[in-house]
Amino acid sequence: MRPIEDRHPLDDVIDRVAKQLTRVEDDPHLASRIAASLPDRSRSVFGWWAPRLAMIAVVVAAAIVWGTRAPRESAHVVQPLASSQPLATPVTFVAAVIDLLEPGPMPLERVEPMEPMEPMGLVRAAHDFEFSLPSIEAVASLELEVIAPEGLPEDAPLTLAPLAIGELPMAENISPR
Amino acid sequence: MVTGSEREDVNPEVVRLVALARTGDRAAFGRLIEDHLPAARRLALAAAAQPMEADEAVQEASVAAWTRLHALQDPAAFRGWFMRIVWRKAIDRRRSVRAWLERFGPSSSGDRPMEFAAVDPAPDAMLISRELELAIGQVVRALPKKLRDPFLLAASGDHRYEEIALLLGIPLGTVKWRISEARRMIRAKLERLGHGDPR
Repeated sequence: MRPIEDRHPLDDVIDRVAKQLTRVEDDPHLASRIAASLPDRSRSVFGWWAPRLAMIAVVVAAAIVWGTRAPRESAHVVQPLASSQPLATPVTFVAAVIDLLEPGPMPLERVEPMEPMEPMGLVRAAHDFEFSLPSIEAVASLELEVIAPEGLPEDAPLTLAPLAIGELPMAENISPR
Repeated sequence: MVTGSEREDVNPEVVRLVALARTGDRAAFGRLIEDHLPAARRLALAAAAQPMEADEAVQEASVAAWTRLHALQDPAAFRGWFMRIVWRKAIDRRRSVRAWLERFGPSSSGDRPMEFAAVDPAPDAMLISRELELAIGQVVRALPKKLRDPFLLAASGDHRYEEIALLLGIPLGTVKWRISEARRMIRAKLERLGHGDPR
């Protein structure tokens, strides 16, 4: 508080009014209302920890599930890659693929090993497809008469004889059929 | 965190009640709250401005203190710890501007002082004109919150300057300056309104 001699004449009035601004009426029931609104201590403590425990439990359960699933999936997928040595024959490769894709009990028709095929070029060279027909003989060479340039006139223009067209039948004489 | 500097005078009864309340003794906690209830209500009223809002803030603060009592490290510092909870709850309510506007807004603050009607007129208060009371109330309401909060907390008579500094989270020197500045601004405005000398 300031010394009395320094106080302004208004200060007393200001302090009095300011004190009145924070004055509260007695409420004898407020304390009992507050006590009645208090939550249960044990429940509140549990309620404080319950969400955390639930979250921890969920995380642990997820980790366990993931930990148990991850090796199977990785073995299923990664194992062929890890052991992807060069296969000896196509038959071995097919059998390996069937074993990978069919872990369950459903039977699949196994693929019989196929005989190796020869290259198509060699087969065509050795055989003719049309065994029932005789072989095609070679076409005789076309023989053309030699055009003698001396048979043509030297200076005379090339003329053609006029075309002679005979009398054509009339249209009425033609049967419609 | 309650530090040693804000430790209050050790009250063995408070320490005992806090220890009992920590074990779930609702009656002990009720005693604690009841002992601090008047100061808590005045503190909340300084922030929330409406008695009903202030009481709601005190009730919320009491429930919060009950549920967080395990966080109080020094039982002897219960009063300051509880008052800070009350202040925060009251500030939260003040921030819901509705209550403040209902009380201090243009539609309601024109002719009605805060709670002056409930005040029993003291003999010397009879000498103060009603007009001056209204003027002081309006000037105090118009103060910036930075000045009004420490000024009203100090005027309530419940808190030392050190406690106000802890409540508001500002240095002690700042508290003193703001209270002095609030008083200076109130005087200056009253003088401009023609209330320079009440005698």
